[in-house]
Amino acid sequence: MIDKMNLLSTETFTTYTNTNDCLVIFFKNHCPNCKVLMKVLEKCLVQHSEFNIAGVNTEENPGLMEASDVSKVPTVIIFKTGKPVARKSGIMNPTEMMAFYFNA
Amino acid sequence: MDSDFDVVIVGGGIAGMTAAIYTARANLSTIILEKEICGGLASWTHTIDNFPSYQSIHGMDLMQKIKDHVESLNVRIEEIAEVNHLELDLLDKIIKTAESSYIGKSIILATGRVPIPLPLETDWEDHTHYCSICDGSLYKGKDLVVVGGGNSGFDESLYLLSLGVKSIVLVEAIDTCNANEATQEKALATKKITCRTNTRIGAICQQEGKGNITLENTKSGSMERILADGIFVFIGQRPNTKTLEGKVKLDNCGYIITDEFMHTNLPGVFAAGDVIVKRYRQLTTAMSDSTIAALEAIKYIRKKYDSSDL
Repeated sequence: MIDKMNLLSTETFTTYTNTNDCLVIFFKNHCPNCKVLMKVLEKCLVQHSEFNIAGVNTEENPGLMEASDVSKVPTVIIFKTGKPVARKSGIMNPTEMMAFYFNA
Repeated sequence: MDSDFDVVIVGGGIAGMTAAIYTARANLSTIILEKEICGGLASWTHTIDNFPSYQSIHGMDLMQKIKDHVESLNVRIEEIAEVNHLELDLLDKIIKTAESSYIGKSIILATGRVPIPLPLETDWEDHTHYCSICDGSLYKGKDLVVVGGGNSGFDESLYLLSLGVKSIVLVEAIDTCNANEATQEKALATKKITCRTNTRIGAICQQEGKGNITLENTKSGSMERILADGIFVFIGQRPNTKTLEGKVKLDNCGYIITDEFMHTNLPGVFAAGDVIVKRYRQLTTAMSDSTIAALEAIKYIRKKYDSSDL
């Protein structure tokens, strides 16, 4: 788990994404690709501490997955001014992740 | 900046980590470079029942225990570190990733294999999966297609049923399924799995939230369309040797050719695990040949650099 990641729940998701421009990763605990992407995000954070990362554990919050139209993990969604502006499923390397984040 | 190590291990699966335990315990400075995270394909396996010492264990849990062991020996582990350049024909081996370069007196190649993707363009990618642990739970009460009649196809189908999947059509391109017979019998006894041999996926189109999947009979050429909520693909793996092409001797399928002591065609370059030419690819066989590779690397370094044999 990433130290600087805000874990979101059904109760906090909407308020958080409405008030923070952020990247939300939808993940599961025993998902190898999720662990890879978490590690990628950790590397991105080392280079860009301004990365605002939030996470949704889909096993604990299955409703958020459906509400966000997420059909596989890991999926990352970037929220800006409360709106989802970009999304991607599967793994990326750090270069791809940073391009995805900063170009959204 | 270059970092010098006695042994550079490329790949952090069971083979790479086992080799690291041996070389670190021989007081050789060791680094593992892993393009994703340590664990390899075993991390994708929900239940491992044939690893001595555990009657049953989740693949990811087993790999974490092995990684903990490796870390306790002060092996340096670099994850998300994909090797993109190798110079192996020199006395000191040069290995580069996007961020760093490393020099090794010896190198052990344990890059493993990667799953083969479905060879089909589709606009239904969000419902095309390669990991039942990751995505299976989304399909409780739903109908699935599983592609591949090997052990993975049947094992994963049983796992998907245990998550509450309603039905599975299992598709195999050849006329028989190669999975273990007992597993096949167990799967078919559930009456929730229908096996279609001589069948491949011809096309997948979206239709009202579902996948309209064309099944093509490979013998008669006849077509049939079925609706499914998702598709899981387990059609085997290919060796992860793209960056090794032209660097070490590979066979026609891309596997590294070694001798019985895990030597490649280059001095000081060893290989182990699923990536080498061999008949059986199991966790235990990977551990066996990575043990041999590590001991040979130790012997090579002792002989080459300080003449004190093992």
